[in-house]
Amino acid sequence: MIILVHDLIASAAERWGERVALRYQNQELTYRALADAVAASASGYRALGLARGDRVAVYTEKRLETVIALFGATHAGGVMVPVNPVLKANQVAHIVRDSTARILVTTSERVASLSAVLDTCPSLTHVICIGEAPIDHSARFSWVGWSSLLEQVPCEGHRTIDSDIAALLYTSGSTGRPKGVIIPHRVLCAGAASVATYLELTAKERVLAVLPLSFDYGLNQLTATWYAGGCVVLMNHLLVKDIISMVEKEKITGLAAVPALWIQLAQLSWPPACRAHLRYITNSGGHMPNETLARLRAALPTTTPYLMYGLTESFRSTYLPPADLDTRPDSIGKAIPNAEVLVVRPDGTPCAPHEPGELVHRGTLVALGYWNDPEKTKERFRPLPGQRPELPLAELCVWSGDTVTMDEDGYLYYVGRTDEMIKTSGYRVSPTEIEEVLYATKLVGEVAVFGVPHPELGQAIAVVATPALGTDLSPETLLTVCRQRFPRYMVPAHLEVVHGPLPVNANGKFDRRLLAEERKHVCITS
Amino acid sequence: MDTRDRVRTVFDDTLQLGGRTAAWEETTPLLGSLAELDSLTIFTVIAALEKEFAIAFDDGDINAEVLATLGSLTAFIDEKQAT
Repeated sequence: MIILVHDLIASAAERWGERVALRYQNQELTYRALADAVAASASGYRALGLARGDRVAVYTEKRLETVIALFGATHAGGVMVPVNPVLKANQVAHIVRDSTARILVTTSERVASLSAVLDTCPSLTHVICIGEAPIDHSARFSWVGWSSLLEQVPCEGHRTIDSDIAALLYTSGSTGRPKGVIIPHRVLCAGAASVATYLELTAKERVLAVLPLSFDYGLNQLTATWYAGGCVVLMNHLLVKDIISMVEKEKITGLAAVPALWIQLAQLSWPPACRAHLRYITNSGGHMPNETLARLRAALPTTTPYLMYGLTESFRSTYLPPADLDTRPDSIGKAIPNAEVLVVRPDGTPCAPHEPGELVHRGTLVALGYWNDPEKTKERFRPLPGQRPELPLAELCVWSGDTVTMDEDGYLYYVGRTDEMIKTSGYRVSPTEIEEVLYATKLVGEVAVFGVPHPELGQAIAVVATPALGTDLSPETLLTVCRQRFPRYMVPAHLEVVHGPLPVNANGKFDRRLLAEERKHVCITS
Repeated sequence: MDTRDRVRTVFDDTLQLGGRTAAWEETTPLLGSLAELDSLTIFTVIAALEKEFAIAFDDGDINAEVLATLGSLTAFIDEKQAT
């Protein structure tokens, strides 16, 4: 039985040693080579004095070394802290300080941007540099070259059990600085097995990893694929069309993305050759508009879409079995194996069918809270509602902050982030609902809906949209459509057509907060 | 200034890199190695390169291979200017 996350690699190396586990550009590693490199980096960390549970932050684009550095950290008995490569120096420094990381792994290109902030991270003893390390003896930490890390005398990792911490996954909420979600080994292992099972992954899989490894969903692409003995192809993209070229070139069988990316991918043309190998696609991180899903299904008729839902705090929660896609295309499905999902009112009592309520997740995938933040942990990790009084210890669940509904058959439907719901003239309006209708008009390419302050309404509805590819669009046209399809309280007070793409945040979601901030005065006239 | 220096300046100015591009070489990777360069800012950089070199890229001109390194992008612009 696999109880530690790096054992996924070691165990795969015993079964499929000569198979390719990981590819990046023209380089690849077999399971055997990956297992050896992970063990070598673990010995390197131990030689630098890594103690049990010490954090190793890794700030690099996706490449072979990133994966080795992350899994080497847990192999040594430490904790991996993958840092999203799109974060800027001061955000990286926040994560290094907040996690009190002892070791930072980065690249020589990135060191240049970090030089001003590394000295503000007192916990750092070593910075490991992929590429040439700077010659700088004034720093309060030591520089280590990546290649010398891998050349240390072999050394066993610290003893670790499955409830020890494997990873801190930093997630930005709607307010405040990113928080580190504490993920024990058992969550990563159970998540790998669960996802590999319902996606029916096999050793023939070639999964294209475009999402950052700092997302639970991105990290899970590696672990679930390795669980099945498949191959992960790493990719850093700037242009969305390059993803499609890569799917074709690498004969990719599985692709995972978030809604903002799928919306762009659905507007491009997919070469028919992709149909021969692209077996499945998955969506998580928000609701995929029906129009986007319909376009993808038309372009990729032989590809199976899996609609998924999960929060970092509970790793993965639900998926819609593909067989239900035609009858319930807007559902996020039901709980994944060995997880339970409840829909409750604010007092914890269960909602009636179709009554909006908060999604609560219970089971083995629940994380251990937010690193060094008992207050925020108490808000999100709360006792199971309705637990039997005979049970003396409270079972902690994740109260997701997402509003959903459940139908009579137990299928769940995403309504919106509770804190993104627009409160206008006494109504609560879901941005997702308005976006869905606007996508269905086929007039827009991308669209974001959010609330802005309004003197009479409390909040007014604001819309920022881009025209559908190769077309023109006037705000008046879109406003007419809204007037035709919405009750008065749902008609936007502010409607803007811009040339895209819309800004996304580090989580790959449309940055509604930034868009709202830039437009906070549009409905206030002095 | 040769093409490479001008490309470096365009990157530095558009992404506000504060002179970090001075250390860039032919083999410096562009794709993925810079936090400042993402799927949004790439369009600002492309527009600025078009202006600087008075060229127009066609749809599909720019791809991951062109953006691989400073060298590959420079070579592409030289070629584009020659035609």
